[in-house]
Amino acid sequence: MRNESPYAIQTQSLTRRFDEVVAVNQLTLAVPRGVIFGFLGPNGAGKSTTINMLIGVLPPTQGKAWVAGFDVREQPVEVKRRIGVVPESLGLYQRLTAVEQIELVGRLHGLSVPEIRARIPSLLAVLELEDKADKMILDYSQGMLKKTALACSLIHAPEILFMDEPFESVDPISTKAIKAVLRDMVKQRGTTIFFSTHVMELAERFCDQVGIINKGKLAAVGDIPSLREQAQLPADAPLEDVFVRLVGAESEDQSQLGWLTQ
Amino acid sequence: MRTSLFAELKTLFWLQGKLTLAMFRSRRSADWFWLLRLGLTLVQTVFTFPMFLLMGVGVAVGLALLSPRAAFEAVVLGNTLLMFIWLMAPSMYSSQMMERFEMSRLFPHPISFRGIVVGSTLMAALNMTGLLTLPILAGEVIGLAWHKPLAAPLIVLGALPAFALFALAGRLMDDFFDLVASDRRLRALVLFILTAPFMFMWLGQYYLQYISHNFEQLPAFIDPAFAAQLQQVRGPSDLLETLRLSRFLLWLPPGWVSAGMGMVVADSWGKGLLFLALAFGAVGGLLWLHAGVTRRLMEGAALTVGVERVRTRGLGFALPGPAAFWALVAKDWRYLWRSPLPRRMLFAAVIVPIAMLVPLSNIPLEEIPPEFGVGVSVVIGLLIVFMFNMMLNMALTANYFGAIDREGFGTLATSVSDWRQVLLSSNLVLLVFTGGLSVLAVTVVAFITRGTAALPLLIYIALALQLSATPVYTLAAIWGPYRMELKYGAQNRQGNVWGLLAWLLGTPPVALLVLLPYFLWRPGLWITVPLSALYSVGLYWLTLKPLATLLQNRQHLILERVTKD
Repeated sequence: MRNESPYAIQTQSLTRRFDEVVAVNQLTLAVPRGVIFGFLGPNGAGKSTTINMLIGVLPPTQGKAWVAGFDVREQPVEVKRRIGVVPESLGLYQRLTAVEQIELVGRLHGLSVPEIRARIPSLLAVLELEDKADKMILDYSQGMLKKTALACSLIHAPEILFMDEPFESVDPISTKAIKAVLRDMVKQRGTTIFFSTHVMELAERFCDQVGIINKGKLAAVGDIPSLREQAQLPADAPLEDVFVRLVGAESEDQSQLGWLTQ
Repeated sequence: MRTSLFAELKTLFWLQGKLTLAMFRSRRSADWFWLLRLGLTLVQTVFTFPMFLLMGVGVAVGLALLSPRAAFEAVVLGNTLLMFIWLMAPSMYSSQMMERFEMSRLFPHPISFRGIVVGSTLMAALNMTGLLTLPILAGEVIGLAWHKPLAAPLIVLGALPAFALFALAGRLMDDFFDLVASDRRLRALVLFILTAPFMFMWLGQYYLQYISHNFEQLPAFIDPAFAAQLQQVRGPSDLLETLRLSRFLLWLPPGWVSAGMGMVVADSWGKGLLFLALAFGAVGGLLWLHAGVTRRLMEGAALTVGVERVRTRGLGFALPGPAAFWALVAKDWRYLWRSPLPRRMLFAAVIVPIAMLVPLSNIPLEEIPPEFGVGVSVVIGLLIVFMFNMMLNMALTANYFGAIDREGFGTLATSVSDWRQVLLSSNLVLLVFTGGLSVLAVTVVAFITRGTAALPLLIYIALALQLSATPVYTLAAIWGPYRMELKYGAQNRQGNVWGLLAWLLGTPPVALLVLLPYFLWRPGLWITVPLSALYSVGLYWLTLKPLATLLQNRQHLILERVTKD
C-alpha cells in the first residue's frame, strides 16, 4: 500500500548493525519531494549503508523507512520500480557494452525495447559515451563506468534518484551537463535526488538541503543557511567549516605532523 | 511499470544470451579475431554435441545390454557421477568462459524475488553440463524402458526430478560462491576444498588398480565371503549386481532420483513410486534452500570469517645492503604469502609426490635394492622438479605483476625504485618459495623411495633450474602480463603464450647439462654441474640490467594491463 506522504524519503529510527558495529544509529530523516538532498559525512560515517537500506538491498536491523511512499522492507520491489540508483559498487556486467547494460536495466524496469532504444542515444550523447558505446564495459575508465551507471539509473525516468558519489572520476564537462539535466528533472518533473558526496563545494552549490551523518548518527539537517546557524558560524562561512564544526573534527591534534611543516 | 514473471524471465534469458555472445568478444575487437573465436566455438560445438549424443546412445545401448538389475545399478552409479560433475562444474568453467550470472547485480533493480529464484535456476541448467546431461538422461530413459516398456511414462517422469536436482545442485554451488565472494580467506578455503575431490579420485583409481591386481590381499574391512563372490564374477552385469553399490548410493539424493526412474525395471513398483516422491521432495527441498540463500543474499548476507588481521614481524636488525631492496623483499614476501595461491601450492608439494609414488606401492619396499631406490628417486624427483618448476613459474614468475603484485605495481611505478632491485627482490622471493616447494617435494620422494643419496643432486637441479629459467619467465612477465582472476578458481581467461615460450627457452639448457651426463656418462657431471651453475648465475646476471630497463620502459603498459579487469 502506497503511503501518500509529502516526503519522497522518510526514515524513523533507522538502524543497521553489523555484528558489534552500529553503522547507522537511530536515523530519523524526512526528504521532501522535488529537492536535491546532499548526504554528507566522513569516511565510514554510514552514508552508503543508509543508501543501501533506502534502495531496498539491505534490510534495516531496526526502524522503518519509506521511499516514494512504500515501505522499503515490506515492498522493496515497488520501491525499486520508482527509483534510479548509482550505487557505490557499480555492479555492471563487465562483458556487456554500455548500450546492452542500459537496455538490460530498461527491460528490468518494464520498458518496451523500442522505447529503450529511442532513449539510449540521447543519454549516450549527454553523457558523452557515444564513442565507446559498442565497447565492452571492462575497457571503460572509472569515469565512464560512473557515467554508464548514471545512464542506467536514468533510463526509466525515476521519481527518486539515489546516487553514491555520482561525480567522482567524472570529467568537468560531463559533470556540468549531468548537473544541468538533474536540475531540469527536479524543476520540471519534481524528481527527488538523494546523493552522497565528500565534495563540499558541490553540496553547497548543487543541493537544496543537506544532511550530515557522523558515526552513524544524523548530526544536522536543513538548508545551508540553517546549517550555518546550527554550527554557530557566520552567514558567509564555507560549508567545509560548517561540516567540520558539526561533526566535531576540529579537535584533531595536527601538531603531530610538525615534522612535515617545519 | 509492473512486470510479470514471464517478462522477467524473458529479460533474464536475454541477459544470458548476451553474456553467452560476449564469450566471443575480445579486447582485440578486430573482426577476424571475433570470427576466429566464433569459428573455434562452432568447431568445438560441432564435435562436442555429437559426442554428447553418442554418449547418450552409448548409455542407452549399454543399459539395454545389461540385466535389468544391473541396468538399475548402472543408472544409480551414473547419476551419482553426474551429480558430482554438476557440483564441480561451476568452479571449473563458468567464470573462465562466461561472465557469471551473478544474482547480486540484479538486486538493486525491480525484479521480483520469485523472478530471481526461478530465473537463476533455469539459467543454471543452460550450460555445457546441461548439454551433457540431457542426452545421458535420455539414454538412461531409453535403456531402462527397453527392459520394461510399459513403465516408460514413469521412467520419463522420474527423469524430470533428476534433471531438476542436478541443475539445482549446480545453482546452489553458485550460491555458495556468491556467499563467500566477499571473504578472501573463505574463497581460498573453497578453492582448496574443490581440488580435494579430484585428488581423491586420482588416488582412488590407483587404489582400485591395486585391488584389482592384488585380489588375494583385499583390505580387512571387505567381508571374505563378499571377496570370494567377487572372484566368481563373470561379465559386467554380474559385476554390477554383485557390487550392488546402490546399497550405499541410495542414501544420497542422486540415488533417490535414480531409484525413482529405475526401480520399476527391477520389479519394485512400490519402492519406485516411493523414491519418485522422495525425489520430488528433494527437488522441492533444494529449491527451498536456493530460495532461502537468495533471500539471505538479497538481504546482504555473506559468509565471512571476519576481517583478517595480520601481524607484521620485522627481523629486529638491519640487513646488509640497500635498505630499499630489503623493504622490497619484505613487501614481496608478505604479498606472496597473503595471496591464496601459495597455500594451494604447498598442499600440492606434498600430495603430488605421494600420488606419483602410489603406483609403485605394488612393489614391496624391502625388495627395492638401494641403487634402484636412488634411480627411482632421480627419475621421479626430476619429473617433479621439472613439473613444479613449470607449474610454479608459469603461475607466478611469468605473470608476477598480474598474479601477485597487481595494484601494488602502481606504488613501484610512482616511487623512485631501482628497477633492478624490483626484479632482484621478486626473483629472490620466488626462488626461496619455488625452491622451497621443490625441495619439500623431492625430499618426500627421496624418503619414500629410500633414495636420500639422490637428494643433493635433486635440490641442486631444482635451484639451478629456477635461477636459469627466471630471466626468461621474467621477460614473459614484463612482455605479456595479464590480470589473473583469483576469485572463483579461474586461473586466467586468456592464458599466457609468453609463459609457455619462457618454459621452452629457460628449462632445456640446465636440464640437458645435468640429465645427459647423468644417464650417459656420470663422471661428466663434475664438469657439467658447475657449468650449469655458471650458466644459471651468468645468464641471470647478464640479463638483469636489460630486463630492468625493459621493465622501466613498459611500466605504464603493465600497470594498465594488470589493474584492468
